[in-house]
Amino acid sequence: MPYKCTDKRIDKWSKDTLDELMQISTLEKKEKNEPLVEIVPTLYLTKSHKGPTVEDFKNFDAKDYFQQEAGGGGGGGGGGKSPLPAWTQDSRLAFQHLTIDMLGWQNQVLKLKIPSIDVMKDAGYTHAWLFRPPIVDAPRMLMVSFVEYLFISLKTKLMNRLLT
Amino acid sequence: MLNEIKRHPLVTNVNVEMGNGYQSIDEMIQDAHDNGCDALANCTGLGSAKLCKDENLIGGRGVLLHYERNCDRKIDDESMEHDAAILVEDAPWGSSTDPAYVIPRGNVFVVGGTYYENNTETKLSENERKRLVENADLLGIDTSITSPVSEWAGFRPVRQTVRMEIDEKFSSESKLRIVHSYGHGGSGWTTYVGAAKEVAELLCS
Repeated sequence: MPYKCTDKRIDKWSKDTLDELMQISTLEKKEKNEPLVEIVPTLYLTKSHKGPTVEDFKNFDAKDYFQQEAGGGGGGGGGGKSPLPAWTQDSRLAFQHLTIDMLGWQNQVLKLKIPSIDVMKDAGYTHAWLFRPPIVDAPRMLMVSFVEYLFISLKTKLMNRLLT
Repeated sequence: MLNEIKRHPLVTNVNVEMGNGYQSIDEMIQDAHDNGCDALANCTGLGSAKLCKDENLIGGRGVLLHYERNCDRKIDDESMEHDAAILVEDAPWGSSTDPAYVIPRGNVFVVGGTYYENNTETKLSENERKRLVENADLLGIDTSITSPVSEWAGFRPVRQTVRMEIDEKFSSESKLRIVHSYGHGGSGWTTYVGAAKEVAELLCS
């Protein structure tokens, strides 16, 4: 979910990053170490609908509705007529647009540690986006990248020295 | 973020102070020359405001508290077993400048947050700390018996459009191929692989 970045090129970069993070997550499942990337069920609570409606379903063809403009999105509309951003159409994120009541029903199965449905309703939240993005353990990932950089840097310096 | 590396319970023996610091893009270029490089990727985030004298790049201040991942929770139903991330930008819990969120990340819960453009304060105020504890409480951490283990303030590199381009001026002057990649706002970890590939494509084009 792009955050505070409206550049139209971000959808392509996000997709490339998602490809890699999903791959890392899959590989890590085979190991017993603490994961660098964890798929985390994520809730985005809203006080308004902000999603496709029954009227949209009646009035539009699905293909036109969800059509993506090249490079369109950037955390805003995904092109086409859908009010949802383009990234919500990536099936790997298992995106759902739910009412709070629907979320309550689903959570009987998902068992997520979230505030109670009554508390969310009392605060005025009526809808939620539910999806499953990869979350990077950023400090550890930086450390891994840093060590990788040091290794490559030392190797390059050594090679340069040997060649001169 | 580098400070977070120091404090991370699973990270040891990494000296984040090592490496070079630069006061200008010319120093970076000189260092690249000295190391026999033929290309330079400038991914210095907000540092580019100074290095490249880029007035379009500003800081979007964010603040966080960290709680242990196994901290006490306020979950009524004991059968609930999986952690979730929660983000709220609508009132009363949040707003676009004061979002409320909790993210399980490694061994901690990250609780936020703020998005203040051009605010350069490097420490959390008492009011911010209080609001973050309230956010943690709202989003399910039992703050009556659990305290944060650390706090953090940082600056998102915010720009109207990301600067992702070959620097023709410096490239021709220095005979190095120089590409800039900065200004990704709060989407650094969402885009870092794609942005790196774009940099590589630009350098190879």
